Amino acid sequence: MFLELARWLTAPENPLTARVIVNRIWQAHFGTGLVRTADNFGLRGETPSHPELLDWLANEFIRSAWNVKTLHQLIVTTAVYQQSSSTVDLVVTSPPDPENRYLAYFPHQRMEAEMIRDALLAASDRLDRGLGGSLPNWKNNEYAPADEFSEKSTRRTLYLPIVRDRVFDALTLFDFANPSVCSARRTPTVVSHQALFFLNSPLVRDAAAALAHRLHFRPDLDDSGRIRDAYQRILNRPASPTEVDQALHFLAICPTQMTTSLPLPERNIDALSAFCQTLFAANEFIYRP
Amino acid sequence: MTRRQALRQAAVGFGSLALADLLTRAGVTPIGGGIPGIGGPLAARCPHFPARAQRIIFLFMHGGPSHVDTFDHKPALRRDAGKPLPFDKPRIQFAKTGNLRPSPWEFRPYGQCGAWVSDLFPHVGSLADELCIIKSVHGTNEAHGGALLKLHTGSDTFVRPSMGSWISYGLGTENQNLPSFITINPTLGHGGVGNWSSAFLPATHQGTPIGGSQGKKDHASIAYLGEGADHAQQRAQLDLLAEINRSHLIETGPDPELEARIQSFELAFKMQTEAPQVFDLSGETPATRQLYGLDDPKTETFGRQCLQARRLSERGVRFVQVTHGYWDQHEKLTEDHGRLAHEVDRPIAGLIRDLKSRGLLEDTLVWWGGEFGRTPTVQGTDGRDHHPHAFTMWLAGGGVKPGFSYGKTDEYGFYLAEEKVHIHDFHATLLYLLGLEHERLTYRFGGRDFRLTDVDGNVVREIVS
Repeated sequence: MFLELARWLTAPENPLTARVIVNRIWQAHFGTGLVRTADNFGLRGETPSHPELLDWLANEFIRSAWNVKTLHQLIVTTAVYQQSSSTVDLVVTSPPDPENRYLAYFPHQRMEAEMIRDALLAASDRLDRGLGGSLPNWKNNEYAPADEFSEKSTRRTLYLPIVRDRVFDALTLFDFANPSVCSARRTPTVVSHQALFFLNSPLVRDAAAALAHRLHFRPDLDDSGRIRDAYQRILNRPASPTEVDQALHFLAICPTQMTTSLPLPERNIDALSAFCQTLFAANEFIYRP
Repeated sequence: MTRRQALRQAAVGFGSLALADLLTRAGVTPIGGGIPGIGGPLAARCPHFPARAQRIIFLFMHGGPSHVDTFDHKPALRRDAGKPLPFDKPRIQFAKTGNLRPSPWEFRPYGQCGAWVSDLFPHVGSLADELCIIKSVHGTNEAHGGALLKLHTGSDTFVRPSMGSWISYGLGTENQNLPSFITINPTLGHGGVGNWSSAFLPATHQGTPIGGSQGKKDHASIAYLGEGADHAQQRAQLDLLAEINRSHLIETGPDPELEARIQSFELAFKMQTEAPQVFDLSGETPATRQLYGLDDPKTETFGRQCLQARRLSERGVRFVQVTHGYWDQHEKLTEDHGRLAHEVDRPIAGLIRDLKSRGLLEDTLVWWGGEFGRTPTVQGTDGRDHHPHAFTMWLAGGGVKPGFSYGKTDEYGFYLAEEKVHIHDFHATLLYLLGLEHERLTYRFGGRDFRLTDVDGNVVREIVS
C-alpha cells in the first residue's frame, strides 16, 4: 500500500511532488517560495510568481534523479541568487514590486534559530562539527523530564533534542517552529527580547568571551590586528579603516565605563569581549547575506 | 530614479512601507477595520469597534472547583440528599458517581443583587454587586487535559493558539517593554505549554510563563533581563552598535526590519531596568499588602501573584493569567475545597477592590473559573467527580453587568436549564468585550482562516452592560 503511494507521488505524470520540494528549497534560499503558500498548492493556495521557472526546476530535479545537492548547486550558481541585497541603486520598476516578488535584488533574511546558535559557536571556534550520534540516550516512549543537554552542548543545533513541552528558549526566541504543528514556513519577528538575548544570554556572552580570550593571547596581534580578526571571523569580511578606528576608540573608552573592581590595565580582555559581543549583536551578523 | 529618491519624494516615507512589509513578513492578514500600529508585531492596535475592556486578568482554578459548593446554590440537593438522580446521567462520564449530595457549606445572599454565595467565598461574596455570575457554562471536556485545552485554546483535539495569543495577535500590547501575554504559575500538565502557546500564530504572541514549575518560584521574572549586568558598559556597547548598524543600513538601503531591530536594542536596554520593577513589591503600601492577604501565610502566595497581576495589568500587559490549584476533589472535598478557597478568597476580593480604587476595574476584565464543575452526585464518601455539562464562571469589571446573574442549571445543578453558554460562546463574548468580532479575528494557515471560536460561538450580549 505504501509502495503504491510512493509510486503515485513520484510518477512522471504527477508534477506536484517535485514542484513542492523544489519550492521549499527555493524558499530556504530566498526566504519566500515561488509559491508563497508552501504548504498549499491547492485552490486556496497562491499561484507561483514564476510558473515556468517552477516547472523547469521541477523537471531538472526529476532529471537529476531527485538529487537535492544538485538542486542547491543549481540555485546558488544562478545570477538571481548572486545578486546584491543592497537597494541603494535599485531602479524603481513599473508596476511597483514592494514585496520583491520578482527578485530585483537578493532578499536578505534573518538567520534561523539553528543558524544563529551554530554561527555563535563557529565564530568563537567552539562548534563541535562531529556528525551522527545522539545527545540524549532516552529510550523510546520514555518520559523526558528535562532537557539538560541544550544549555551545555556545543554540537550543531541539529543535534539538540526537541522536548515539546520545553523547547530550548534560545530556539523559541528566534521563531523556531512549534513542534506540535506542521509549519511550512517560520514567521520571523523582531522583538526586544531577542535584543536582550544578545545583551545578556550565556550563549552570546560565552562566545564573545571565548573569542576575546583567543585573540587577547595572540602575541602576533596588536589591537588593530585583533579587531580585523574579529571582523573576519564574525562578519566574514575585512574591516574598513574607519571601522578599525571606531573599534580602537571603543577599546580605549570601554574600560573607563566598566563597573568593576579590576585595575584599569586588567580590563582589556573584558573590553575586547564587549567589542566582540557588539559585533555579534550587529544586524550584519544575524541577517544574511 | 533610484528607490531612495522615490522614497524621499513620496510624502509617505517609511511608515507605510514598514507597515506593509512588517505585516507581510509576519504573515499577518490585517484585521479588517483595525488600524495596525507601526513598530513591530506587538504594537498596540485598535480593535474592530470600541472596546469595553483593555485587558484581562484570568484567575484559573485548576482542577475544577465545584459549582454547587460555591456560586450555584441548589437547595434541592439538601431536600433530596441521598436520593438517586431522578433522570439519566450523561452517556460519557469520567467516573461513576452515587446519589445526590448536598453542599457541606451554607449559602447566603450578598449585596443589593442578593446573589447566593457559599461560605467558601465570603470575601468574594461581599463584592457580589461587582460580579457577573454565569451559571450555565458547558462544553469543555470530561478529563483535565482536554478540558484545559478546550478552555485555553478552543479545541480539545487539535493544536490551536491559546486565547492570550489570539488577543495579543489581535490587539498587540500597550507596553512594549513587557510581554503581551503572561501566565503566572501555570501548570505543566494537562496540555502544558499548549495552554499558552501561539501554535501557528507568530511565536511572539505566545505566553511568557513566570514562576511555578516553569521558573523560579519566588523570583518571578523574565528571561535575559541581565541581573547584575554592567549598564554603563552596555551603554558604550549600544552606542558602538548603533554606529555599526547605521553604516550597514546606508549600504543596504532603507529597510524597516533592520530599523526595527536597531530600535529593539534601545527598548531592551530600558526593559532591563523597568521590567524588574514590576516584580518588586517593596513599593506597595502595608494597606495594599494586607488587602491581598500577604500578611497571612495561607493567602500569601496567591495574594502575591494577584498583586503581580495587577501591577502587570496596570503597566499594559494585555492578558495575565494566574493559576491556582488543585481543585480536583474526587475525595476529601470538605477539607480540601475549604483549604483552597481560603487561599484565594481574600486575595481575589483584594484584587477587585484594588483595581476599583485605582480606576482600573472599569476597563479591566477579571475572570474566575476552572476547566469544569463537579457532579452534584457524590463520588466515594466525600467527593465529587468532573462535570463539564454545567458549571459556573464569573466576570467582573471590563464592561459586564455588575450584580448580575446569567444562565441557570436544573434544580440539582446537573444539567443546563436556561441561557446556555458554551465555552465557544464564552470566548466570543470575551473577544467582544475587548472590541473584537470573533469571526473577524482570523489567521490564514494551511489553506483556511482559523479563529479562536473556530466555526462556532455566539456573543452573549445579555451580560454586557
